[in-house]
Amino acid sequence: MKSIFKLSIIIISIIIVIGIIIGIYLYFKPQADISKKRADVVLKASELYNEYSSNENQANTKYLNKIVEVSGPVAELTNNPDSSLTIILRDSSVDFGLNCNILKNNTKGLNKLQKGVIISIRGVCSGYNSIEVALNNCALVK
Amino acid sequence: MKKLIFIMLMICGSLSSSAQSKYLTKTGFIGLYSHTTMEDISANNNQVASILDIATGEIIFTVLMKSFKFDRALMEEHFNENYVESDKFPKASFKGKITNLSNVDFKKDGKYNVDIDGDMTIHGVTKPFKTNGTIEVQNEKIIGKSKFLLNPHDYNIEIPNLVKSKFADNFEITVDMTYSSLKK
Repeated sequence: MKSIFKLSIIIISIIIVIGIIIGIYLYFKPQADISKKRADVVLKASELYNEYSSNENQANTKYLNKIVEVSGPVAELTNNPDSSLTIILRDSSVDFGLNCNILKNNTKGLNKLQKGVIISIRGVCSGYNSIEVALNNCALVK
Repeated sequence: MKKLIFIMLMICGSLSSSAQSKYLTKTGFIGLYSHTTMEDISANNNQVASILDIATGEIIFTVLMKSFKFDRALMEEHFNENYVESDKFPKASFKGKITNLSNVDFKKDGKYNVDIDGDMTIHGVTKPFKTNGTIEVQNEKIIGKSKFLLNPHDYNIEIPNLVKSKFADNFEITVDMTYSSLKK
């Protein structure tokens, strides 16, 4: 009887410790590394922008919170106050496109990108801010 | 191009002034910060869209809630799912006016103090809102900055009792926008 009692205490303690470790891991987990994840959908930057600008609600049902991989020409590069980088993907013939935000840990070498170069970016679609489609946690697709 | 100008005018809600007086940013910065005994809560949004009409002083902000980035994934999840409910209320917005527009000389580089008055909509709740800030005219760009406090309870944002002690009553909001002329 005594040894079963001891064994159950040990097992319960192990479960509690594992639970605490999982809890701490989740609590401190940083933003996901999107470059390591598979895209839910692949399309051209102009296609994503056109879908959102013509019907925002319909585009949200298709793309909101999904990992999208988009390709298009670099139109603008902006260094933000929090050291993140904004890359706007947009054809030169239009005024607005995709606003892709790259967190400060992933920006190495990216602010040297030339305007007009066509790149592929993977990120989470955050929706439409009424002017451009917003992508976050972006990473360059190599 | 005509369609886009029309959309801009609709966003501004005024068909009287021409596009010449309108300034735009799509990479506006809004940071939120709250200090608690346990930890500091801070998030940054770099995708704020805003239009400023220098002829009328009208100013509009559209803020995508999902664009607020936290250092920790779990905190961002709680913010979106439990506090601001961003699936239900994806955008916050402010529609208002610079009330002392004559204080600003948009033709002369310099820094000017401004008072802003309008309506703030967060989490589906609209409340009148007044604050002040600065407008800096610099080389054809207009930089708008402001810092103020927001109480989440004013906008029906429920902080669960379990974590209530973690939040100070107010969030410190920092706004930093660089506007360019709409006509290019």
